[in-house]
Amino acid sequence: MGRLREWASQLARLASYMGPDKHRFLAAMALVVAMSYANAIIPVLIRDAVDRGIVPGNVEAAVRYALLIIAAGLIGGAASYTARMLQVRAAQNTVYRLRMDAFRSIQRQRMEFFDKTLVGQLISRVTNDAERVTGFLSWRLRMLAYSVFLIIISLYYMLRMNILLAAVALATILIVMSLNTLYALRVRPVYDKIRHQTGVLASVATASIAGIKTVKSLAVEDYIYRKFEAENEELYRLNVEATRISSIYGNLSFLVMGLSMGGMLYLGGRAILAGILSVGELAAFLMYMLTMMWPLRALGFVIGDIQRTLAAAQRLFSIIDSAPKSLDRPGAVCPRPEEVRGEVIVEDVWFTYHTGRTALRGVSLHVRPGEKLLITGPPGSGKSTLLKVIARLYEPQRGRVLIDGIDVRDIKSECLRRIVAYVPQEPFIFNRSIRENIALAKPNASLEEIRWAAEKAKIRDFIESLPDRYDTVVGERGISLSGGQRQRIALARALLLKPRILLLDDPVSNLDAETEKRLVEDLGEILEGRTAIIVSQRPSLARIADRVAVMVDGRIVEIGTHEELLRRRGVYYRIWKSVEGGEDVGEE
Amino acid sequence: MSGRSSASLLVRFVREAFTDRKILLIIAVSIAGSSLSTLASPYLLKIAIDEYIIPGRYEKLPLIAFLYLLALVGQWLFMTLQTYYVEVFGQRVLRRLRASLEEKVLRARLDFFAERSTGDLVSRLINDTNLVNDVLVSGLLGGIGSMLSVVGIVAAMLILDVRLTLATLSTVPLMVFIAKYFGGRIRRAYRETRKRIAKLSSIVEETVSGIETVRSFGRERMVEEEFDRASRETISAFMRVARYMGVFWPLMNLATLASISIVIGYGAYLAYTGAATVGVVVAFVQYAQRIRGPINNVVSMYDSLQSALASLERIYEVLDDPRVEDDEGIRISRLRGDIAVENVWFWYPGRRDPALRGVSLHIRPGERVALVGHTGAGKTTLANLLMRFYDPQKGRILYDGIDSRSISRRSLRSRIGYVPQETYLFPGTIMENIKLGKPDAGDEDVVRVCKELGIHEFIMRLPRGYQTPAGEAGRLLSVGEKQLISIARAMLRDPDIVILDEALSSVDPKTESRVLSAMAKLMAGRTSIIIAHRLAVTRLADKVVVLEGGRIVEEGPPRELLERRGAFYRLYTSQEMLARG
Repeated sequence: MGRLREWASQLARLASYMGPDKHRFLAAMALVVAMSYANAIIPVLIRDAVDRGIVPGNVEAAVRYALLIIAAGLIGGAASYTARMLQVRAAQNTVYRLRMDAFRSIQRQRMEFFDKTLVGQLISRVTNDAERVTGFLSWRLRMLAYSVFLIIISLYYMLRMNILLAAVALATILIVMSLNTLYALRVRPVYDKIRHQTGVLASVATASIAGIKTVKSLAVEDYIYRKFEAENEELYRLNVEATRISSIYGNLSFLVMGLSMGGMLYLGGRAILAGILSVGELAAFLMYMLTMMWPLRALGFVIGDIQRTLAAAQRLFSIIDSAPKSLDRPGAVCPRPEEVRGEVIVEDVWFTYHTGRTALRGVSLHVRPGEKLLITGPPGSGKSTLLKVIARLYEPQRGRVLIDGIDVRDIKSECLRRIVAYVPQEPFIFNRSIRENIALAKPNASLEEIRWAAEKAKIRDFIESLPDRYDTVVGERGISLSGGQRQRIALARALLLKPRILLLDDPVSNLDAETEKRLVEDLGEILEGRTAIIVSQRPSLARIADRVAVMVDGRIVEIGTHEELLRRRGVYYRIWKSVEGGEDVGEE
Repeated sequence: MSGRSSASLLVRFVREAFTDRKILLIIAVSIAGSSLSTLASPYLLKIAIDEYIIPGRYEKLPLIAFLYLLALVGQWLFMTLQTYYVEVFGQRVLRRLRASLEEKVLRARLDFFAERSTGDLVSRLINDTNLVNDVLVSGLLGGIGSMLSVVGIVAAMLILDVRLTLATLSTVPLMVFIAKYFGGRIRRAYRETRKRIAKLSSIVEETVSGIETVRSFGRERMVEEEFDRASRETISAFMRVARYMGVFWPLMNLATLASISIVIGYGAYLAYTGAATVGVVVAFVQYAQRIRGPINNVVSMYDSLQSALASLERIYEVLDDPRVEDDEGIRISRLRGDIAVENVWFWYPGRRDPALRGVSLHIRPGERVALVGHTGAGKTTLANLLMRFYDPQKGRILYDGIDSRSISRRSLRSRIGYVPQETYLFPGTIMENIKLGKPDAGDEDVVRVCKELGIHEFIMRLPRGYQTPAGEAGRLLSVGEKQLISIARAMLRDPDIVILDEALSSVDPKTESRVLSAMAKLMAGRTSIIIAHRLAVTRLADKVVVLEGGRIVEEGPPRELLERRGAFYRLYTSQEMLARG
């Protein structure tokens, strides 16, 4: 009962997305009725053609009915075409709204959501689930209506012709329908398993190709092949299983149809001899059975499909419901970027990830306008998290972050982005031109501005050496960039905005020694006149920083200038020593 | 693709795939039976009407009704047999095709992979094989069945009445035309919708993977507009499909109805003149209905033939590629670890400049050698040759005095512990991944080795310890930690020679020291070659070899080379300066 109510509410919610397309749906449904009528009347016309034309030898009547049959076909066809166009349009529009709603809500989600959810799942929501809903609203629903009306109208005419034969037909319909539903229910899970197993097989194949060097160097070709063979065998087995089900259950309805048509011929023949049925009527009965064969099969699948469609819609709804209404607080302000001094104050900030890991335990920090601060510390000490909290990608559970004395949560996010630029450790490069990648936040930037930013980020020479220069497509389907080039593009992207505050997350990771050295040299110039907070595990960046903070276990344990901290002989001294010592063979 | 080559492609496929005689016989019988029974039922209906019902011969009616029923049951039985065996047959062909592709891939030489992406090869293995099965096995056999049905139906009609047969078939050219005209268009329109959907996926993928960037740069609105545009394009692609389908099905239906109408009109005339009976006309009405399906099947099969042949070509291209590794040669069970590289020259396939230009090097058993040099100096190439991923074009490499080319590749590799710079984790658990080093090792061996290397603790810190799935672990582990897993793999097989491509450049100081100590343990007492990127590693080596432009420019103990102030000294100081800041 509760489940039914749940279904009803999901249906109602889905219907609410129809909006202005409701009348299209209604018109389509009305046309479907017309179409089923046009198709259901044809056996009746054939009956009349036989009984009034062929049997008595009245050619004129036969031709008249023949023309009527074509007319019915034309009307049915026109209704079918119009209904299809209306309904597909309505379904597509409805799902368009739903899909946009889901996509917008994905964009509104807090960062925690993305930590918890796999990309593949979200893609599947927006494509597979949305498509399933579209498929249902367009052709499955039309098929359902068509089948139901066709069966009802056919039964009506059959009843008028002969009650006994109509009863046989009705019994057949009921049996075939339940067989088909049973078939759909049985074969569905196997098809799902086949889809899954195909994925498994593909992933084994992918691994053996992408990891071929490892396979060869470990000489485990046979082992991998056996693994592939086992999964291949399983896929074969599942396919044979599906075949077995569909050839037994799927075809069983044809047997039932055959039995009942044989029975009809016998009973109908007797009725004709008894004078209560005509030859044309018998032909019409047999034709009805043939006409209903496929609609009955489709009906089985549609019934099995309702639940799956609602489940798909529900998955979309739950994404929408899980997103906050807005990322900004009511009454958020928008300071003018040019008036921002660039002071950053972190006050007793605590932050715990959804996994339960507490990354920040009461961090307080005061960064003066124009100051460069290096934050270092062992991996997992909370350095990157602190940057993300300052950039307001995450919101702290306790404490606050102030920029020029304003709580970042009170600044509109679009305005905050113009003041604070955050360059993540592994910058994301979009699969499009370099120009678009740099002008990400300022799509109307002139080529001059882009050149300036590329120059500052020391990537201009590289870009201008490419055949298509700024129009070169980079990323997955374009040319691939090295880690250092990606970081520089990301820097250029940030510099284009001329932000007052720059947050850099380990800009020298993934760089070889030579490039690291050059980037560190360039950073001093790039950061001039801006407040900068730089996170790095390697203390090599200390020489461009005014002060260094050391984080351990979510707390700042030391802060001061490079020299002060070295003199203190604490954590920083040990980190510094370990790197220096590690590189030093000569002193041994 | 020329006509002849596609025909020969098809002939080859049929010859290779259609070998299972027994199952093919069952399929042939069921196809014949099913087309016979399909044409039998209208014929029996005609006899029932003309000879029993209209003349009023009641006594034989049960018999004819029973025969009619038998024809329908036969139709069901043969169809069931046909669907089952055709599909099973097709699945066997598929299984064999996939297995031979995978086998080929595993035996292929490394340069085979250079020109093809992983996605492309996987798509040949999964998608192309599926398409070939759908069209060239199920489709072909189904098409043969359909054609046989058409022939049978036409034959039955001809026996009944030649003139009515011609009348019924008068709309067949129209049906063929409709099926041909729309078939290809519908398929292309469908393909277009797939492309649009793929576009939607890639937008979501980009947005989600790059959400930090999207958000930090306030890019939300633009991404949304882009998604909106792609969604609208998806709608119009689907509308195009709807338009074609919307015209196609009613037209096909209309063609059938036209042929029924012709049968009725003309049949009534013939019945009037006494040239045909009522039963014949009723039977023809049924035949007219039955001819549409098979025609549609044959045309659509023909239509998808081209793309299936293209898939077949892609499959054979892989299967016929001559670049395979053989496993011929001496099987070695143990190496002392003496390696002699003698004047080795090597060109990568298709390159003009050699990657190695006359390299000679002698490594004594148990000696530890570090290869250093700039990117492209030939360090990795040398390691590739030592692993016999490639063989030198000039010069030779001797293991314990035996030419590497006369040693079986696999037996050589199983005596070498190779640790690549990037660790590849295979689907499966961490335990299974380490066991790849020695598939018959027990769990306790793995744990022992990991404890020995000091990596047991960090594996135990993973959510499910050794049983953590590689995919999940891959996200949690750093490059250095993954390399520790590689080291464990190598250690597990207790190799005679170690070849190690270190990845310390992207490792934090703490992991660095763990990796270094694990490396030292792996190398202890074994002939070892390390490709060193961080020069700190050279302190583990007895000898440093400096490569430049494919040549050895300097060679000797690390300390000596530093004192000599040559190439190694220059490399070393540039890295050290950086570390000191």
